[in-house]
Formats: sequence, structure tokens, C-alpha cells
Amino acid sequence: MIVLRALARLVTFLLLVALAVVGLALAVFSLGPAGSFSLPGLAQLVHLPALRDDVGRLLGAVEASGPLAALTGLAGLASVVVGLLLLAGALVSRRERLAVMERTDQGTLAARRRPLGRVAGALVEQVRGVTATKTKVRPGRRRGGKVAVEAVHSRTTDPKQVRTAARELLGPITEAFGLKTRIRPRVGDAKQRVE
Amino acid sequence: MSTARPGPGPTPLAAPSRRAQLARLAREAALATVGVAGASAGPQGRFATGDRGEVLAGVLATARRDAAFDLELNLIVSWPAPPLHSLAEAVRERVVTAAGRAGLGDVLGPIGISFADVLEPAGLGGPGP
Repeated sequence: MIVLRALARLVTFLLLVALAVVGLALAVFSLGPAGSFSLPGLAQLVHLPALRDDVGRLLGAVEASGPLAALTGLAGLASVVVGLLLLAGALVSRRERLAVMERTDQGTLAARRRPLGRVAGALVEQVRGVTATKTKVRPGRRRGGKVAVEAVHSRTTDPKQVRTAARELLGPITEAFGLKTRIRPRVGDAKQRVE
Repeated sequence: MSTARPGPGPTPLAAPSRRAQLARLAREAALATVGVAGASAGPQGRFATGDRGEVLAGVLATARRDAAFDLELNLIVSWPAPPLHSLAEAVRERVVTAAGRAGLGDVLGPIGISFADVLEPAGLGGPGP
């Protein structure tokens, strides 16, 4: 979605630049009384008559059945898809999804992914033998979601114990936010030491 | 006899609207809560309320049909982070108390609280955008 948004912005910018250039050219050439410095002169300058002939020939070829017609059909279909993707990039909500803790008449309590991930990581780092954590929070559409924690531990630590202890420590926040937990214990590299 | 007329000097600021009063009060109450490190307008600047040329970042007050105002607070949590649910409850309680004291309790609607980020100590990385 980030790529689509960036693409939509770039295309919008380029189209606006092209529109501004065309508008400026039309305005300037509208000032001229006649001759080459006029609107017909501008049409000659950008070879509009030749373009009209080319487009006429192309449309004639497209009307007839043949490989060009199929190719044009495919190109049209691709244009529609590109247009839809650009529309999605421009129109889809930019608001980051929140992990909702509570939604009552008094208001909504929610958190973004970052603080939730940091809290989850800090909790799992309390497990004996865990040296580092990597968390990923994916809030659900309305409520709930998933929190995935990769817990790096020493060789001497039992991964099952890490998983059980981490799940227990995460209990308060996963219950409050209705999050499903996924703990992935991983033995750390030799460079990573238990503090 | 000449009558006194206001001179060409700076015009005095108008009194703040109830909406702005409530937003300011809620923001100050939230920031005074232990565990709250700051307030953020959010990446798109959605959580902000204007008050006579000043922008109150981190709080959005929206008028309701019943003449009350919805409040939305976007807060930054200090590190180490306290339990988020109890922190949210503490903030809400402070806002309600402050609004009651200021005589704005009758226009206080639901209070939404979202935690936008954590303010980590130097060396661990600061808050995100």
C-alpha cells in the first residue's frame, strides 16, 4: 500500500506538471494574432495533424480483427488495472490501524503498534535466558489482532520454558487488547550474551 | 467633549471558546499524569485543536449534537511504560476531575485515549514520527 500511495503521488505530480506546461503553452500561443505564433501554429508545431492521421490509422486497425486488436484489448485492460491501483493508493485510508483495548460510552482506549510492541518486547525480555526480542503487532480491523515475538535466548535455556514464561508475562496486555500471541524462541548467536 | 476610543494598538484576544478551554484543560491534565511523556498531533496532524492562533497538539475536541464535546487524546508514554490500561484510566480520571473543577463537566463528552508512542531513554531511540 505504501508503494501504491507513493506511485499515486508521483503520477499526480507528473500529471499536474504536464497540465501546467500544456496550459502555459496554450496561454502563450493564444496571445499571438496569427501565423506560427497562434493556436493553429501550436497545433502545427506539435504535429497534431500527423498525430490525428496516426490515431485514425490505429483505430482503423483496432476495429479489424487481428493481433493488434488483441494487443490493444490487453493494453486497455492493463490501463484499467493501473487506474484502479492508483485509485486505491489515493483513496484507501492512511490512518494507521490501532489496537483497541476498550470501546465504551466513555470513549475508546487504544494504542498504536509501536508502544504496544515495545511493551511486549520489554515484558518478554524479563524471561530468564532471553537476551533480545523482536516484536511485530498486527491490530485487527475492529478489535483484537496478533502479537508475534521472537525471543532470542541462550543455548542453555529451554525454548519451551521461554515460550511458557513469555506467554504468561504477556497475559495482561494480550488479554486487555484481545491479542493472539505467537512466541518464537530462537537460540542467539555466540556474540549475543546473556546479561 | 471627546469620548475615549480604542487606539490602533494590538487588539485584545477574545475569550477562548469552551471547546478550546476543554481541549487545553484535557491536554494539561493528561500531561500531568505520571507515565505520560508528551502529546502528539499524529503523523497527519489530526489530533490538534486550534485556540486563538495557537495549536494544541495531541488533543482533538469535536462538538457533538448535545452541545458536549468529544475528546481524543494522542499521548506519548514514558519509558519504562506503565500498564497502559491503568494509565488510560488515570488520564481519564484526571481530565474528568479537571473539567468538573473548571465548570466544564457538563460539556465533557466521551474521552478517547490512544497511545501513539513511547519516549525511550537516549541510546534506545526516540519516539517515531
